[in-house]
Formats: sequence, structure tokens, C-alpha cells
Amino acid sequence: MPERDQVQAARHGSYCPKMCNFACPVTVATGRDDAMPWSFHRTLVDLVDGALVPGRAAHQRLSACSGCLACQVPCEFDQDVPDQVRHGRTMLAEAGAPLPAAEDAVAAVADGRSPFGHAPIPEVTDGGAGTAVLAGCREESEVSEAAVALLRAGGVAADLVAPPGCCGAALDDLGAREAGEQARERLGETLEGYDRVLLLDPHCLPAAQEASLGDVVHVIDELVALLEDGDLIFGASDPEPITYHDPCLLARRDAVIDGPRRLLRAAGATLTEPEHSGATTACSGGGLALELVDAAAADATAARRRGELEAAAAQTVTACAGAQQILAGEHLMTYLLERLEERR
Amino acid sequence: MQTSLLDELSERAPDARILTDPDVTASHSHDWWPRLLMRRRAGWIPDPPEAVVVPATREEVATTLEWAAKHGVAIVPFGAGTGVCGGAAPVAGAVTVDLKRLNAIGDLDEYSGIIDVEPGVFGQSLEDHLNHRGWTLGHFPSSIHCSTIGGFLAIRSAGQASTGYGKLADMVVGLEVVLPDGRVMRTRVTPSSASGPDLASLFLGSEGTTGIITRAWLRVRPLPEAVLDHGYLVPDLGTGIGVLRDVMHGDLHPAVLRLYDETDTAVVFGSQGLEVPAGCLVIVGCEGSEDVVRLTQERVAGIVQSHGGEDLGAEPGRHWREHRHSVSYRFADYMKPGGDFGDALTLDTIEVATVWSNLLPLYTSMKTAMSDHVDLVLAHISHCYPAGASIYFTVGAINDGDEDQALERYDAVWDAAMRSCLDAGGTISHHHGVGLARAPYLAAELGETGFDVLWRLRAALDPDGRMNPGKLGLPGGTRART
Repeated sequence: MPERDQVQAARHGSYCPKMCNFACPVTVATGRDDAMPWSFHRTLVDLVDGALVPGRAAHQRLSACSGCLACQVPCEFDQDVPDQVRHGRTMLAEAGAPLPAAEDAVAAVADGRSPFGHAPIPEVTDGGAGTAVLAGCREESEVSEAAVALLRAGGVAADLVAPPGCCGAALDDLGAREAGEQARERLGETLEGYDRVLLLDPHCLPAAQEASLGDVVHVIDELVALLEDGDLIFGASDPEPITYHDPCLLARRDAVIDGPRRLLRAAGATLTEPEHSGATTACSGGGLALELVDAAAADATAARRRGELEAAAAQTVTACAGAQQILAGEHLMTYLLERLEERR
Repeated sequence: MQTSLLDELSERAPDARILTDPDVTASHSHDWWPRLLMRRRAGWIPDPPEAVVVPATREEVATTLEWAAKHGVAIVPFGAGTGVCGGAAPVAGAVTVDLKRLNAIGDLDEYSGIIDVEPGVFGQSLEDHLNHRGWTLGHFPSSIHCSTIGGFLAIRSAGQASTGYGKLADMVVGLEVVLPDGRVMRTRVTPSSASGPDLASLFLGSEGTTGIITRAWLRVRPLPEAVLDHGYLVPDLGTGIGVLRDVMHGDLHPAVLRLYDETDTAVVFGSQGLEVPAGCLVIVGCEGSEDVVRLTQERVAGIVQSHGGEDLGAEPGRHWREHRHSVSYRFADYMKPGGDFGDALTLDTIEVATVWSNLLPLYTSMKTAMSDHVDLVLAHISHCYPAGASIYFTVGAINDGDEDQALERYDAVWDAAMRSCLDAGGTISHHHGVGLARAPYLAAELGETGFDVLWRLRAALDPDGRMNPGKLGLPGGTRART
């Protein structure tokens, strides 16, 4: 959304009676007034109007959003609160008061690590493959390798591309726009020569679309197509109860809801739905760099979702590295692709 | 406020969040009273509270109130800040206590049909929780998406299906309250009792002036097997009132029973691009088992027919259910600067109630009185009882950017509404509460003796008048009424 429109939307939202409160998983989990989407509208308006000075209070008021878009589901104005938070954080950076987490992330990326501190995973090349599987910056090598193995089993030759640093999405989330743009330029160079890009991490979609000259699709969509064409076959196995945690952006932004379930059923799972699923899935707290900006809010959001998943009393599977890692704990949380590869 | 006072509270309740930076507490600087929003729109920057305390447990609420009592600090309870009468507006020198971290939903007693819940839970969150388990609370106010259970209880809220399910206060089978001195009172969880006066009623609708609700046990019902919505057209409002009254006296129990006056009917049809009919729209929603729902709908149709009404089929009911929260979602379109009706719109809703025999006279006298001050007055009748119903007015005025005029007309229409309601024998609030908006008029409704009883009850619990001072028209301090 153009900058001016974001501010106009925020000004509109500052007069809305907070109707999306119930939908916001961070608000519900933390009980924090500054986590309400309405508070972010007001904060952006206050920044633009000069009623809020860039600094610590502004950092706090722009911290407790997980970027999950749950507030957009009931909204009749189609507000994009995460984009307004990004815009506010960028304003702070441009005013010389970046989020401390943004400075740390930029330094980490300059050092070849992800904004979350991860080192890059080994790449897998197939020599001449026109398809790249793009690993997100929180991906683990087992998951990425499982993705490549599943694709190859379906007849798709694919390279695993795991560029160091960041695709730009997390840097944008933190308001480090210039560093984000540089990251996307580097990503574009990495993806040169590939006709298609298959995404592992839903958060990378906008950056990959901007950086790549080819088609960009979620690896799940590709696997579903292979399943439909009969190119991907799972071996017979005992039925296993599985609860699928819908990653927020995959489900809400990209409407990838049925595909993971079809794959799991094909692999022998019997699905048990948690209290919130599909387009109204509850957030893990793993988006918009929440764990870097406000770890307490991220933990509370994750704990609430973990409780819902545990109540479903089945093994839990998801399709987002961030969600998997933040929801893991005593509760076993498996990545969808690993589970599928085990069942192949 | 002295830092040492807050330091002491921090030591006594180390896990409670205590916010003092005015740039952070700014979000608690007003609730959703349209008068405050209009003033904000006009450029007024409301003062934030001196401090916001955010407890996470009943014990922290108790510690906070005990601390406040010791130091004479006034307290303003705060849920989501979506009340429309100024009940959660900050008070000079007071500390706001934000209750949203008390957000646990307890076990569902499916055998008795009871859920216990803390006050910071949003209405829709509780409903989703119950629905996932096959139950419903049956409390569906248009603010269900944004407001908290504690806020609903504090103002004796009603939902859109209150005709069938009752008001939320009717669903309370147990209540836990922290008193102004920090002691905790919990009523026994029971379906009904004759063990003296109902102590819970001292806190339901008290708007925090007698204590802070920290837990409620609410009766719930199994999700209905069937939902059947239907629309009818009656010749005029008086006829429609007769229909509603006969339905309520006919041993029928629809969940939803709504009657729109001619103006509101025109808005409902016109906003859908439909031809506006002559007459008044009636919406009936039945919920329950298939057979009971069918029978109820048939009987209601018979009553409408006997009054000369017309069957409009299921579509008006379907449309109502699908869009029943839309007006709240569209509020910003009207209220914001440069909204759909230009700058400086005067806008609010005013709900009152009375007995069947007085409903049309009350409607007529209030509409006449209010029409002198605004451009638009429309109303629907809903929340029906065997003895009467609520009238829900919407008032609006276009002011072409003149915010002073907007405020003058706002105050004038409210004064006209309250005085005409009192003169015509109605109750000045059915489900939005009193707050600051109705504070000047409550004593007139209760009468001198009645208001004295209220004042003495509050004074017995809060002799210093520190709990939400000014709300309900109750003064702060120990000054005796004269």
C-alpha cells in the first residue's frame, strides 16, 4: 500500500471501535492495550502528526504485533496493520531512532547470519535444475532436504538455495528498509537463472516475488500438484492422528489451507482441528520479528496457541519454520515436509 | 502522582505492569463515548491517566485496591475501553486499572451448563471457546468483537438475542469481586437463591463504583440445533408494537425480535439498494431444536398476519444476521474527519426501555424532543420482555465542519432525550450503562430517596468515594449528599 494510503487507513482505524480485538492473538494472549490493532493505528497517526516523539515509547507502542493478519479477517475496511507497523518502524529508523532489534538484525546480516542469528544451511545443487527451493532464514537443513527429496521423488529436479543473511522480509519487518532492499538485490542475484522458485518459508513470498524473474509458489502447492497428477505417492501406513497448525500468512494471506491437509491425509493422517484453524488460525507469535522486538509478547502468544494445540491431543505439524521453532517445547512439533518425507 | 507510591505498589505486586509514560498510557485516555471521540476529532488531546496498573491475577487486583485505599488513590477500572458512555474515561488524579490480563477461561461444567471466566476475556473469544465445545453463551451485543466480559457485566449489557437468552446479568450464577478495601467477596455458585438480597446485584451495573469484578460464573446453553430468521412488514410502528407484545405474551420465545420504525426501515432497505416499502420491518430469529423453531416461526407468522402484516420471507432475516455487526465496523466511516457525511458529524445511539403500554408514547415524545436538535432520528425496538421492550435510537446531524456546533447539538440532543424519557416514565438506559453520559440524570430516575440508597450503598463499601468517581453521578470524596 502506498505510504499516504497507510496513514489514511491508520487515521480511519483510529476512529474504529476496536472491532478486531477478539481476533488479535497477541492482544488475547497478553491482555496488552498496546497490542490492539487500534493502538497501532493511533501510534502511526501520532507519529505522523508529531504527537509521539520517536524514541523508547514509540518503540514500545510498535512492538506487540505478530504480523499475522488475523485482524484483517473480520475487518470491513481491509486494514493491513502489519504494514502500518512496518511503516511506523521505518519512520522511526528514518528519524534516527531505529528499533534496537533492527540494529542488531542489520549487524547479524552483515555478519552472514540471519536476523534471528541462524547460520546458513548447506545448499544442495542438482546441476542445471531450473527450479530453486528457497530456504528461509530460519530453516533447518533436515526440512530443506526433505523438501528436495519429496520434489525429486515427484520428478522435479530442484536446487536448494539457502542464501546467507535475509531475503529482506525480516529486515523490512523491523523497519530496516535500506538493508531490506540490499538483501533483495542479493537475493535477485542468487536466483538468477532459475525459472521457478519454490518457497519453504511463507514470510519470504513478497521478497522472492520482487527479487525473482520467474514464478514463485509455495512448495506445498507444488507438492499438491504432484499428488494430484499421481507423481507423488505415499506408502501405506497406519492411520495417525495429526493436528495441523496453519501458519498465519500461508493460510490468511495466501489461502493455502486445504493443500497441507490433503497431503497429510494422503500420507495416512487423520486430522483433528484445533480451536482456531484455517483462515482464523491462531498465531504462534513468530511473525513480524516479534520474538526479536518483544520476546515476552511472543512467548505469551506461543503459549496460548500451544495450549490450543495440546488440547487437540494429537501430534502437531506445521509448515513454517518460525512457527515450528517457537511452538516447540515439551510439545512435539514437526515440520510438515519432514513428516511427509517420513511417510513416503 | 508520587513515584514513591507507585514504587510501593510495584514492590507489593511485582508482577503487575505499572505504566506511567504518558506516551504509553495515551491509549487509556478515552473510551468509546462518542462525545470524547468528537472532542478528539476537533483537536482536543485527552489527558492520559496518571498511571495504568495492569494486574494479571485477582491477588494483584486486591493488592492494588488495598494500596489505593491506604493512600487515598482513586481507581478507574478499564476493560477494552469500548464503553459508549464514558464509564472508563480517566479521572484526574486517578489510577486506571486495566483488567485485560485477567483473561483466563476456566473449565466448562457441561453437566450444569456453567463456564467460569475472568473479566478481561473478549466476548467473541468466549463465544468461540464455547462454540468449539458445542455450547453458546447467547450474549451477542454488537460490541461482542471488541468488548470484555467484565465490561459487559459492569454495565448490565444486553445482546441482540437477549429476547431469548436474557441479558448477561441474567446469566450470572456466581460472582467474585474485589472490594474497594482489597477484600475479596465471592458469591456461592447457584442457579438461584433466597438467602437474603442478591449481593451480586450490588456489582452488576455498578460500573466499578462498588468494586472490581474478577471472575464470573455464567450459565451457558448447548448450541442451537436450528436457527431460523424471518422478516415481516407491518403497516406502522404501533401495529408492530402490538405484534411484539403478542409474541411475548403468546408463550413464544424467539431469540431475536426487532421492529424498525419507518425511518430505520427505509435505511435498512435503502442501504441494500432495495425499494423502500411503506411500513415497518420486523425481524424474528428463532433458535433451538428444529421442531420448536418451526413451531415458533409459524405461530409468530400467525400473529403478524392477524395484525395485517406481510410475510417478507427469510431474506430480511438472513441479511440482518449476516450484517448484524456491520454498523459497528462502519462507525469510523461516519465518525472520522472527512467521513461519509463530511467533517464534524454529530452521531450517537441512545437506548431506553419501558413497559408495552408506554412504548409508543415514549417513542413519540423522545423522537419529537430529539428532532429539534439533530437532522436524523431513527429507532428500532428490540430486547423484548413479557412486560415491555427497549427502544434504540440513533441520532445524527451534519455540521459541515463546525465542531463547536457538532458538540452543542450533541449535548442538546442528549439532554432532550434524557429529559423526555424521564418525563415519559422510561428508564434512561437499557444496556449501555450510565458512565458520564447519563450521570446528570440518574438521580432523577432513581428519585431522591432511591439515589440516596445508591449513594449509601456505595459509601458503605467505599466511604472515600475513590472507585470510579463521577460515574453514575456518584461524587468522589466523603461529602454527604444534601
